Amino acid sequence: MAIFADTLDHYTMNNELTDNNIYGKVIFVILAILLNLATGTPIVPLIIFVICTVLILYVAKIPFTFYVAFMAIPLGFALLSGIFLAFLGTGPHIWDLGFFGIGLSQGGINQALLVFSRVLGGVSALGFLILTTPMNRIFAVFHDVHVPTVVTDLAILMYRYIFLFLDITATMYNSQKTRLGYHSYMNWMTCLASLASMVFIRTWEQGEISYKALASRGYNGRLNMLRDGDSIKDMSLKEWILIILFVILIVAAIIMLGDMNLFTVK
Amino acid sequence: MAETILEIKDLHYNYPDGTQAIKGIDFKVEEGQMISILGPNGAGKSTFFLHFNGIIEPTSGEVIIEGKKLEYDKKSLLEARAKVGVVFQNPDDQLFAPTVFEDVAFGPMNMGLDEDEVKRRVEEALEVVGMSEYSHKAPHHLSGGQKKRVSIAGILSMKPKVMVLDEPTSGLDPNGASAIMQLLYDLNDDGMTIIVSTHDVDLVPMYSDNINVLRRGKILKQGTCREVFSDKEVVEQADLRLPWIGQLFEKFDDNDILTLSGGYPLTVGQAYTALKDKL
Repeated sequence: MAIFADTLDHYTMNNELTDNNIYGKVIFVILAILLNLATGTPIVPLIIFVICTVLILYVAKIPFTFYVAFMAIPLGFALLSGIFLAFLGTGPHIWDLGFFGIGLSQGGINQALLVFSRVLGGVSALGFLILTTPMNRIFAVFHDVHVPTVVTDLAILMYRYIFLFLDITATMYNSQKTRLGYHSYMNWMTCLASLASMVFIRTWEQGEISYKALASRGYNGRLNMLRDGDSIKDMSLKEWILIILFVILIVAAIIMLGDMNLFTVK
Repeated sequence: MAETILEIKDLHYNYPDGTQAIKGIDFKVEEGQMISILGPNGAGKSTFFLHFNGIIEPTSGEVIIEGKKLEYDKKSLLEARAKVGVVFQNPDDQLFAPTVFEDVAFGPMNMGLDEDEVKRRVEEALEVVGMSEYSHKAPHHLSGGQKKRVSIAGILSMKPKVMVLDEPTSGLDPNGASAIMQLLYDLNDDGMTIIVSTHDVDLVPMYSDNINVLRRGKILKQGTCREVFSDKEVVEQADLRLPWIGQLFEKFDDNDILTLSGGYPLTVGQAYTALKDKL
């Protein structure tokens, strides 16, 4: 369907790393995030960010614009909190705002840089997993690590029906606009209200009928599924070696760089 | 004489608000038949179908599957649902899993089969409906016809004795609709008993010669295509019409241009055979 052509879901299923072993990706991402948190210098998260970005853009071949759009929102938040953090540091001020004794300190700027780069590294690592892996494989991992079935079952159903209701909502929205909906502020409010309530009713009805359809195929309270996942044993030697090399590189960087930051604070 | 595989005896069903949806239906299906149920919207077709595998419990009456009266406890229901597979009208109601493969595997997994057997069945079912190459796609990335095929595969993989399809051609383009009907016809040829509801009167005569007309919760008439369509009263009452080909010959007949014995031809094939000798 055309409306899903430029979505996250589309790219997860159509990139160069879609069929790679899910455990290779999960282990890599978990290690990257842990190392990202263990470091005291903003340089290590930046290295992680560069590695993940190269993987996303050049290995998985996710389009650049889509990646930028994906990263923009979390980084926007990180930038805002970074600015606040820079003003909250202790120690002598290097620039004063002029009231309430608020100002920039070296410690504050260091702290802000560290937090911002950690967000950068963490989001890009998580983004690597999210952008290159189809949801169903992630559900298979949930199952393998014994996440309670209720949680996985709900996630599976939600994942499927989000797209269904997205489609229904889009259709209803267009039909409202066809009949001159959303033309003034008050009209906009009533249209949105009726759209929301109609979609709610549709979800309710859909729930009833989906239950009947599932029951027709023997559902009795648990989604017995043959999961379309991989095994950790199927990871190739190459993947293990690359992950180990990555860990060695980052650990070495952590040890060598220590707490290195923009300002040296004693 | 073929074995009776599904029998409905004096079925009544009232909606919770008291409205009578099914008002006494007797219905019998023999192994290997391909039966069409024709009826206008709101005739109770979907409600009727959901009785076949115990999704709806009748107010009174009996459902007998392979000579065994259907009970409504968990175990018997599971058994019934493995024998009688229902394909829902809207494939979006039926498809729930993140990928085609997992969705088709759902039924056989619930039957408690081992994983290799399930995989074999899924591959086989997808092969039959021609969707093998889509097995790792998400349902929302498929077209309407493809979704229909996947939902049929989801039932096929359970290897039911009877397959019940609620309006299998609704919402499909003409080619897609014919392809689905041809698929059902082929499945029937291989021995599967099939019950189809539809109001596509042009398609029905091509594939099925056993028609039940359902109207307001009752079976109005049962018979072959010719018997049903030559009964003008029934056709009118059930908001049906003659197939276009039939209407053409009716007009010929009314104007005394051409009169054929034994009813009007209803399909292009029949019309061709009938006319070949006259021209």
